[in-house]
Amino acid sequence: MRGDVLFRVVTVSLIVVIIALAALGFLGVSFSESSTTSDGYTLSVDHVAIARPGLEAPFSITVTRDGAPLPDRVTIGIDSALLVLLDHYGIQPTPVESSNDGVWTTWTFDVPPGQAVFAVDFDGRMGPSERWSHEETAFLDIEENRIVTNRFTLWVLP
Amino acid sequence: MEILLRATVIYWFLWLVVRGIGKRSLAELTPLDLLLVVVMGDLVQQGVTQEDMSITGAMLSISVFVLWTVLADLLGRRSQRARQILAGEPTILLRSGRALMDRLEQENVTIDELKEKARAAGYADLSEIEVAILETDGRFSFIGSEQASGEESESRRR
Repeated sequence: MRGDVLFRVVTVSLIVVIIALAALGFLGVSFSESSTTSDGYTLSVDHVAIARPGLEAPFSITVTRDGAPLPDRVTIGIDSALLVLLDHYGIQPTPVESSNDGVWTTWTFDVPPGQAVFAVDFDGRMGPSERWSHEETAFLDIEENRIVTNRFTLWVLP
Repeated sequence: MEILLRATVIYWFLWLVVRGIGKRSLAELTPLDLLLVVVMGDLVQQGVTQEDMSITGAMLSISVFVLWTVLADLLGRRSQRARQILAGEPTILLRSGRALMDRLEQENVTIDELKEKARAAGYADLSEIEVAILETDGRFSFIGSEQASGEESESRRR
């Protein structure tokens, strides 16, 4: 009898803990920002930090240049593996060029003249069979030179 | 976090529906009620988890339902008023062999149904029954006239 009561208390406590973790955002979906600066360029990635299969997992990459406008054309790349995680995705604005060598997926964009900030938004949904942690990389190339590399981690809960 | 709110809204909506359909329907499912129960499960799942295909999402929605059930039970045990609101009150349908027609109508119980239940409980006629009660879970309880008078004389002897 005492064992039954103990089991019930443990079960209810576990449920309270699960709900508390969810309410605090530890069970997703939560977002994070990762930012790296080099040579006056800042590459920020707003990404889903804790995702769940089937739910939205949008991310955006923002390029900022301190004290000067961005060049006319920038190339942004990410791990192709990140796109494999997503069921499907859309990209905004539309790139002028895109390529995928199996490891990296890159997009080249025309930047409006005089603009010091350029943002690319990805709209995606986490695939149903993805799990656990994924280390991803985003980078910025200007005239085929790697300027900034940004590494970030996202977790996909089962 | 959203799933917690969705599950909470659905839980209390279901409570409203279950309280609203009347006590009699709880104990007896007509073919239409059975169909509704089966279909409702599917509709509720979509409303609560939406496109969430994760185990975490399923655990969260179940946890919310269980926690509200435990809290409602706890509240019902602590306060009679809360118990009346959450689970309803038993309804006396018959007293001293006479059916209370307004109560029967209120609970959607026909006189024939009451007689049928009485026969199933071993009473050939309603006149043999002192009190018939429709319990909060939809079951019928009967106290026979002999049983009631026996208890009365017993209490008089005391």
